[in-house]
Amino acid sequence: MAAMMRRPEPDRTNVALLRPLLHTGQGFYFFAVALLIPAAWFVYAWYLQLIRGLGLTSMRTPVGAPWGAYIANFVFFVGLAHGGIAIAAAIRLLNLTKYTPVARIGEVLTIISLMMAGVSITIDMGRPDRIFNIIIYWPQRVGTSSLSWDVTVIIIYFTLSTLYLWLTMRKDLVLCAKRFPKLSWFYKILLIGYKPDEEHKIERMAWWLSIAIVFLIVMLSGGVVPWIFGLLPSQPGWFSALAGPYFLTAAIGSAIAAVIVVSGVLRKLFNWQEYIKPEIFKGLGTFLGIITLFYIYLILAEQLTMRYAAPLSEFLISEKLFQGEFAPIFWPMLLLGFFTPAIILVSQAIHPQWFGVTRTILASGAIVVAFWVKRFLIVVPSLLRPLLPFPEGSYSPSWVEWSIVAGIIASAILLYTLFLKVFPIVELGEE
Amino acid sequence: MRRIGRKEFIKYGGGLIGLGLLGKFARPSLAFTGVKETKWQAGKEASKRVDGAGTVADEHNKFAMVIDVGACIGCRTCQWACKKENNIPDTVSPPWIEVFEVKSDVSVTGHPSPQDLKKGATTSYTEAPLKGRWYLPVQCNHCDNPPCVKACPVGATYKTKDGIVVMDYDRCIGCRLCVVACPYNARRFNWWQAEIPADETNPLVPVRPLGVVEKCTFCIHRTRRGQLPRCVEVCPVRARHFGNIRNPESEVYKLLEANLGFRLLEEISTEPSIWYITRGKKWLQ
Repeated sequence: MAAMMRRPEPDRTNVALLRPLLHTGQGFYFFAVALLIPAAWFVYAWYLQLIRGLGLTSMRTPVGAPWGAYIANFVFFVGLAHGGIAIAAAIRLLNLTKYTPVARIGEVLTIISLMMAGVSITIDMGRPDRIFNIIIYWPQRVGTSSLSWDVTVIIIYFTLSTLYLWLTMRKDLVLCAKRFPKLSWFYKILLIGYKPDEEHKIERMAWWLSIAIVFLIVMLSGGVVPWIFGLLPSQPGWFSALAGPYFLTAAIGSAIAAVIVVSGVLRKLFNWQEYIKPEIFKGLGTFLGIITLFYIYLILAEQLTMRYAAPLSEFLISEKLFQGEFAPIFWPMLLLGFFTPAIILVSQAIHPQWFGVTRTILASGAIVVAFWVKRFLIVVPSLLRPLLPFPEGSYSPSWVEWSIVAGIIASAILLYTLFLKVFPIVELGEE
Repeated sequence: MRRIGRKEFIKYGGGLIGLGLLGKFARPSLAFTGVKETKWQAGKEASKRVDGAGTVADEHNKFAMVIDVGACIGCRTCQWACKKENNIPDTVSPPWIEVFEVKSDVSVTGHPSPQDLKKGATTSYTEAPLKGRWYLPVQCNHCDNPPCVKACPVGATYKTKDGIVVMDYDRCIGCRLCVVACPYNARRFNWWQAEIPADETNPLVPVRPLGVVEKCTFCIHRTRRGQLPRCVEVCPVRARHFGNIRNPESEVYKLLEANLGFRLLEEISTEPSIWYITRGKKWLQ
């Protein structure tokens, strides 16, 4: 009897959760066009850069920075790629079913971010036409080159996380194929080899994938991406064993913050207040607050070493941040981007009556922006001061670089929006 | 669908691993300068002005350069001769060789502070030699433990047996990891397309394509034929010396025996092949 009573409930849920697929209003088209403009501009800027050369950027060597905003953008997006799958894997391994509604929101964020990271690094290359050389010469180079490892782990991570998303989405795709006959051919391609009793097997596969992914997260953001920087004694400020934990913390922090922001926006947009509950924001927000405080501690550890140890080269890089040319962005980043949001999030955890969903989302948004700035401040200052007495360089991204960075971010949002229109972003109930 | 059994899996998997191993042992291409290796071997019979140096890459011959900073007058002749010899476009700036003008009380192997830079550790010059200054020419050090070679993800830069760190312009992907890995900032990048008039192009040296890294080659197209590098040849005060450091009869060996030498940033253990010596400021007298 009770089961009979509950029956309409899941259907109402599914209709609500399929809202983005069922209704496409004017707002969507405005939004898509607003994103298409920067995306198209980005393609144009890249085309210009391809035919005229990377000289259109303001990167220079040896006086100036040979790496710049593109690499910062790459590290940022690799970092973002950790949240979704990390949350999804944690939910599965630790049985945190409370967070299930945001699992797929994060998984999609992971996959799109990894794609954007790949785009950023390709744009940074002088010869993107030779990108497959990395794979051709991989066996010879993987023994010494940190970059070979980077490519390896990113490819594995992308494969596993796409696989994970696909496997866990299959049961929703069956519902979609039923509901949207026009697109059912598309869902059926994705449902290749589907059997009604596959659920148990998929659960097992997803469980093992989660374990692999958890290890890969440490390998990627705590291993190979910081290796690019941490293994170079030529650059004061980079050469440090702290690089691994430093990048890993930043990755998880920025990713959780981004999941909070995306979930918050979707919740407001599609009126999903009863599906994405405030407890989710509270839990993730508290975790993010602690991670951010820990990150501030890591900044402190790094800066203390740079300032109090004897090598002048390290001190002078730190000085660039504290009172040099980067101070106008370093201090706002630290105080408004990390410290204030972290205090807000942690105090919410201590005083539950201070909790607010909007406040949590705003604080997380500030943290996401701060983590982009932080990546920029990791990449650029060290490069501007060569060890030999070359004149000191300066770097601020050119219009081409800004266009491309903005275009990549717009493309990421656009891809996310398109995903929303084709796939259910929150796990559906039984029908 | 036919199922792949355990045996088939092992068979195909083994085949794939075998293919991977083949790739591992595939030799890197020899096209380091666009001129084929056989050409260098043909030059074996050529004149041998580089004392005791062989003409092919072998372990009995290791090139090294000794620069007498006391003799250097900072005229930058080497810089400009190198630019012409190696088809370096104007857009690659500074060219492969850079000459620092250093004030006597400023350390150079350490890190210059903004104050030091204001005091005169700078590359800008109008006139040389200046009283109270000395000159430090730097270029690729052809390290025995090169960080750039370690970093390269495609093996586009590698160390040959005769000590030269070479670039394969046809393989470089332009990621610039070697540029940031080099502690000497010796590497340059082709940010723009090189434009050099045909009659000013040295046919022995390839003009680099857009988007690849380049650097000093120890004039590989000359030294492997027994000629001196262009910068050594043109130096008006003979501050530069070049030869086979494995040969006790060579000029560089004798110079290092007779004078105390130092190398740049030795604390990073890159083991450079360029030594600096000084026998006092010759041009002051």
